[in-house]
Amino acid sequence: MGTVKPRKRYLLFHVEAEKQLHEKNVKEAVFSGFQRLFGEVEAGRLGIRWVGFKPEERWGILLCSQEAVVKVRAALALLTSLEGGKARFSTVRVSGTLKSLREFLRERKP
Amino acid sequence: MGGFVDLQVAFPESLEKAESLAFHLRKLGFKAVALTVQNGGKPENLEEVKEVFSRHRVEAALRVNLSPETSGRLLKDLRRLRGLFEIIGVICCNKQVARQAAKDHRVDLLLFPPGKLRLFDRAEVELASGSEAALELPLSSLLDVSGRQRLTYFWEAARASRLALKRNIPVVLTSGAKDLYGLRAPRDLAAVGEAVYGLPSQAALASVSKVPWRILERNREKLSQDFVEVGIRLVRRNGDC
Repeated sequence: MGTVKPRKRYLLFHVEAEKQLHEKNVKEAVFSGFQRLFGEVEAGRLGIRWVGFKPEERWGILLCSQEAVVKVRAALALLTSLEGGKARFSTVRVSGTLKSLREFLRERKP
Repeated sequence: MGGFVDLQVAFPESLEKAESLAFHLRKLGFKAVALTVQNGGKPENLEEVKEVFSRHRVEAALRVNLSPETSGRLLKDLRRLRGLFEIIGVICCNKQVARQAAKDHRVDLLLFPPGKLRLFDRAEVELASGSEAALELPLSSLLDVSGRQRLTYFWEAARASRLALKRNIPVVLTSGAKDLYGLRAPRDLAAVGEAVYGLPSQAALASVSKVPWRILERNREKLSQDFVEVGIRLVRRNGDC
């Protein structure tokens, strides 16, 4: 019997912030947020991977296991500051494929 | 009506702020919001603010948060304000106020500041289960504390929501936002409820949708001119018959 591959989910999030954003700082804030909320061991088990972030449009994409989606959403919701200013993270869409998220973003563009 | 509701967002100071708040609430997926004032009377520009929100297709209700120090003060405030506000929340800072608020049918939401959530114990739950009060867990209470206080809040909030659900007391999750950075998407609030407070997934979603809608509709009906008593409504007036 083969093992069942865990299902993956891509999370599209948007950041509303007072200050200008840089990908490196956003990534660091997100990962330290996970670590603060769940601890190193549990945060490691969530299987989170950084896919990318567009500072101009303030969209970012994370990859995690399907079981971890709720925890990742919660951890993002508890982030309140970035680059020394106020910030708000909101998960906009969760999808099984990167392609559908990209299509969603293309449709949202004016 | 259906959709997501945030039952606690601070009343905007100006029409420009109201415009931006309404835009962000709509963008996050809310259909209704309770704009909250602390202890005071009705804001002067209420109608203009409501108009701004309705332009963005967000229903705005008015809410007051009472923070009395004695149960006598609470009763006075309730008598004075119940007919003016669609939602009344009571910040329970001591046992006397918490007990009175839990058994009073005019109270919609029970709030406990960080460090006071232990007041929501079995006796409180027993009283609240006989009235219509719901337990409110604002995200701002969690975000305002850090370190050991935050850990205690996690534990206390999980215990309180477990107790509430056991006795069918509704739990409401709100942002408690004071500005647009304090707002959160409804499903994100539900995710905090599920992942941090340990609410079951259905209950977490209901706490930002069905439960607050029910409270809002119930109170709107009570405030309408046709309301006589619970279960009795005026159908026709003299002359219509």
